[in-house]
Amino acid sequence: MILRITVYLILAFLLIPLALIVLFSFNASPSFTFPITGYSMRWYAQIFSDPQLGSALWKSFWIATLTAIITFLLGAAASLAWLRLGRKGRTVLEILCITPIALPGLFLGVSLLVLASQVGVQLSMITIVLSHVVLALPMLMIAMRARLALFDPNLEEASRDLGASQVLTFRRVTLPLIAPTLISCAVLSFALSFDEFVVTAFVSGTETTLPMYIWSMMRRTVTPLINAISTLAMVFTIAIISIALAIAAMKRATNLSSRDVA
Amino acid sequence: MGPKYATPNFSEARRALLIGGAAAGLTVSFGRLFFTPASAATGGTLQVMAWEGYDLTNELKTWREENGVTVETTSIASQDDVHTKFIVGNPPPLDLAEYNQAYSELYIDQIKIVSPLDVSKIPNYNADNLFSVFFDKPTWFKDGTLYGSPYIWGFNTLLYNSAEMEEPKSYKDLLKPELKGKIAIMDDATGNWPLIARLAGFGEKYPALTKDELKTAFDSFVAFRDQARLIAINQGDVANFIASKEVLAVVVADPQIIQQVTAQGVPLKMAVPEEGPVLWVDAWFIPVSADNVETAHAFINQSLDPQVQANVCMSIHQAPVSKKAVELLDEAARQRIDYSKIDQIFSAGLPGIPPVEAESEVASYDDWIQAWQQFKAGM
Amino acid sequence: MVSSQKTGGFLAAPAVTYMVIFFVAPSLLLFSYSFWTASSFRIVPDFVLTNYLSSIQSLLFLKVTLNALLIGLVTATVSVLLSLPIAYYLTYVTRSKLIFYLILITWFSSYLVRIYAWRTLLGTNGLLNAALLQLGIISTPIEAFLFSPFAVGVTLVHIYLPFAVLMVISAMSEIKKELIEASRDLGTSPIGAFMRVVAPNAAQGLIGAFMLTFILAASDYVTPQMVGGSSGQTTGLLIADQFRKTGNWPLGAAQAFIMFALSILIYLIITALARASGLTRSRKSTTILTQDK
Repeated sequence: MILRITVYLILAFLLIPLALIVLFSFNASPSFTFPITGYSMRWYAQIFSDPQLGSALWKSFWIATLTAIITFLLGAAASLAWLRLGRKGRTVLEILCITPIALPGLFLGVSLLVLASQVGVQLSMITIVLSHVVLALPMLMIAMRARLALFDPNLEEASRDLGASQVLTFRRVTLPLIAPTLISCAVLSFALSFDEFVVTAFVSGTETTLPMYIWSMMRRTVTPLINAISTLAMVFTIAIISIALAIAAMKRATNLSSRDVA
Repeated sequence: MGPKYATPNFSEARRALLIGGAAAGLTVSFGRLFFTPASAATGGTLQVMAWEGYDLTNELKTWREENGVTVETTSIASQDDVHTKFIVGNPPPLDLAEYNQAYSELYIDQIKIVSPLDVSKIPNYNADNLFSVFFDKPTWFKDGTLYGSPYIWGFNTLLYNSAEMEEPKSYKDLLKPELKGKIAIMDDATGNWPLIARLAGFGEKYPALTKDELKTAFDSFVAFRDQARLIAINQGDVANFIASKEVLAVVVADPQIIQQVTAQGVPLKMAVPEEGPVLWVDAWFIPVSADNVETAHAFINQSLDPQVQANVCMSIHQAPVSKKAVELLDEAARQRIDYSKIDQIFSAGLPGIPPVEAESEVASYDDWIQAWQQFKAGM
Repeated sequence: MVSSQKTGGFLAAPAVTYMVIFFVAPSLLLFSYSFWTASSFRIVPDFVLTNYLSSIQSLLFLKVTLNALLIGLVTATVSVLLSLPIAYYLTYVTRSKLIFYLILITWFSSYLVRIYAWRTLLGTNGLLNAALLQLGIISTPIEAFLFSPFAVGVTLVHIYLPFAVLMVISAMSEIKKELIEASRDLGTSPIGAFMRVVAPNAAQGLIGAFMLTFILAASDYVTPQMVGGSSGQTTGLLIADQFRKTGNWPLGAAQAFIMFALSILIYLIITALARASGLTRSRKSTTILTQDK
C-alpha cells in the first residue's frame, strides 16, 4: 500500500510538469503565469504558419528516421554477431558499442566536432545523423545484451540439427527473439534523435533542427508556442511508440500461433 | 575559395531539387558535403547567418520570388557563433553573415574570414543613401576596400518598468535597496563589458584595460550581481521575467523586447542613464568560403533599399543606416531616436572588443571572458 | 563452431568499424588536442601540459567542477532512490504497462521545454508557490525556489529519473521473482525483501544506473544554467564556452578529459565502497549465485 502510494507520488512528480506544458499550450495569453485567463488554439495555428519551424521539423524528422534506420541495421547485425561470438569477440563489441553510453553528450559532441574539423568534412545533416547513431547504438546494444542473455545458443543448433535450413532457423528461432527488442530500440533511437540537443549543437553547422530552432526561438521570446510544439511532439512520439508496440504484439501473436501449428 | 572539383551538373541538380520541399531540402544539405562552384548570376540558394528577425524573411519576400532566390537562415545567438564556425578545418557554406562592429578587426585582419565586397554590385551603398557615419568609415572600409556593409544599428541600454519605479538616472540607481532581487543582467558578455568599464571609470580606456583595471572593474560590478534576481541567458528570459513582474529592470538590454512586454500590459520603458547606452552597428559580410557571391551582393543591396530598411527597423525596433529610410518610418519609430543628432551619437566612437592577442599587462579577450565566467559563477 | 565465429565477426564488422571511426578516433583526436595550443582562434599542434595545469590551478575551474560533481552526485542519489520503489513495483508487484509507458513518455518529451516548465513551476508566481500559499503553509511567495541548487536538483531529477528507472528495472528483472516470493513467504517485509534479496543481487546494476545518471547530470550544462543562477555554472558550461566562445579547443579538450578522469575516479570509489559494505561480492560468489537461480 505504502509502496503504491510512493509510486503514484513519484509518477505525479514526473507527470505534473508535462501536464503543465500541455495546459499552457492552450493559454490565450503569451505569459506563463497563473491563473490562466483564457484558452485558445492560436499557438497551434502559429506552428503551421511558420515556414522556418516547418523546415526544422522536417529536418528533425529525416534525421531521426535515418538515425533509426542506421542504428537498426548496425544493431541487428551486431546482435546476430553477439550470438555467434566467443567471449573475446563479445568483449570487443561491448567495449566499442556499449561503453560510449557512459560518456556525456558534451564529450561526444566536441570530439565529433574535432574529428570533422580535422578531416575537413563540412558540418551538415550527415554529421548530425552520424553522431546521433553514436548515441543510439549503445542504448540498443544494452537492451539487446539483456535480451540475448535469455537466448540459448543451443536452440539455433538444435533447429539446424533437426534439418532446418539456415534461413528457416533464422525466421523461426532467431528473428522472433530479437525482432521485438530491435524494433522498440529503433523507435527509441528515433525519439532520442528527434529531441537531441547537446551533441547537435556542436555538429549541426548551419542546419537548424527542431530543438535548435526552439533554442533560438527562446533566445528572442518565449511564448506557449514552444509548449504547443512540444505537445505535438509528445503526441507524435506516443503515436509512434504505440504503432511499434502494436506491430511487435501482432508479430509475437502470429509467431506464437505459427509455432503452435508447427 | 574552395577547390573546384565538384561537377557543375551536381550544383544544377542541387538547385533544381530545391523546389521539392522536405526531401529536396535533405538532398541539398547532403550535397553540401562538397564544394559547389560559384554561380555567376543572381538566384539559387543563399545561406545566411543572421540574428533572428534580421534575416529579412518578410521584407524581401517579393525580391526572392522575382529572382528565384531561396534563403536558408541560421540563427545567431551570440556573435561567437559566427567566427567559431570558421575554426573548423572546412569553413561552413555561408554566403552572407552579420557581424557586430566590435569584431571588425578580428574578422578582417586577424582570422581573415571576410572577403572584399564589390561596391559596383551594391548601388544602394552610396553617400547619398547612407548616413555619413556609416559610409566608407574605417571600421568597415580599409585601404580603399569595403569589407563589411553596415546594415542596421541600435543601442542596448537600461530598461525599466515605469509603473513600479522611477526612471533611473544612473545605472547605479539600480543598486537601491528596494530593488534588491528585482533586477536582471543579460548574459551578453560583449554587451555588458563597455558598461562595466565605464562604471569603474575606465570608459575611455575600454577595450584596452590592464589586468588590474579589469579586476577592479569586475569587483565593483559584483554589486549588481548581488542585486540581481537572474543573469538571463537570453532576451526571451528577460522579457518573461519583466512581464511577470518578477523583475522590474534590466541593466543593459536590447530595447527590442519593449513591444513584446508592453503587449502583455507591463509598461516597460527605455532609460538612457548618464553613463550612456552601449551602441552597436551590425554589418553584412561575405565569408571567404561563400559560393553564391553574386546573390549575396544582390541581397546586401536590397537590404540597403530605403523601404526595406524602414520596414525591418519598424519590425525589430532598431535604426536604419539609410537616411532616406527615416522619412519612411512611422511616427513611433521616428521618435525613438533623434536622427538629426546622429553625428553626436556616434562621436564617442563605437565599442570594440578587448585585444585577442594582448601585450604584457593588457587584459586580453580571454581574460575578459574568464572574468565574465567568474562573475556568473558568483566568484 | 569456427565458421559460426567467422560469421559473427563478419556481422559485427559494420558496428565495430562504425564505432572505431565515430567514437574511438574522435576520442583519441580530442585527447591529442588537449596537448595543443590555441591563440587568436587558431589552433596549433603542439605538445604541452599547460591546458591541464592551468585548468587545475584555476579557482574558477575548481569551483564549477566541484559544483558539477555535487550536482551529479545529488541527482544520481535521488534518482536511484526514487527509481527503486517504481522498479520494484513494476517488476514484482504489477506488470503495469501503462505506468511503464507513462515513464517512457516523460523521458521523450522535449528536454528544453521541460526545463522551461520547471521555471514556470518554481517561479515566484509559479504553481509551487501558489499551492503553498493556498494551503497556508507560507504567507508570501518564496523567491528562492528558482535559481538555487534546489531548482537544479529538482529539474535534473525530473529529467534523468525516467532514465534511472529504466536502468534499475533492467537490473532488477534479472532477479527471479521466486526468490522474492520465498523471502516474503518467510515473513520478510517488502523493504526487508529488498535489502536481503534485491539489493545484493542487483547491486552491480544499481551502481551502473547511479553512474550513468551521475555522468549525465554532472555534464548537463543547459539545465543548471537555466534554473540555477550562479549555482548553475558547471564544468560543462566552461567546456562548451571554450568550443563556442573563446575558440580555445585544446583547453576545452583538456577540461573534458579532466571531467572524464574524475568520473572514473568516482566509479572506482563507489565500487570500492559497495564492496567494503558487502553489497557486492567478489566475482566468484556472484557467479555461483547466478547459477543457483
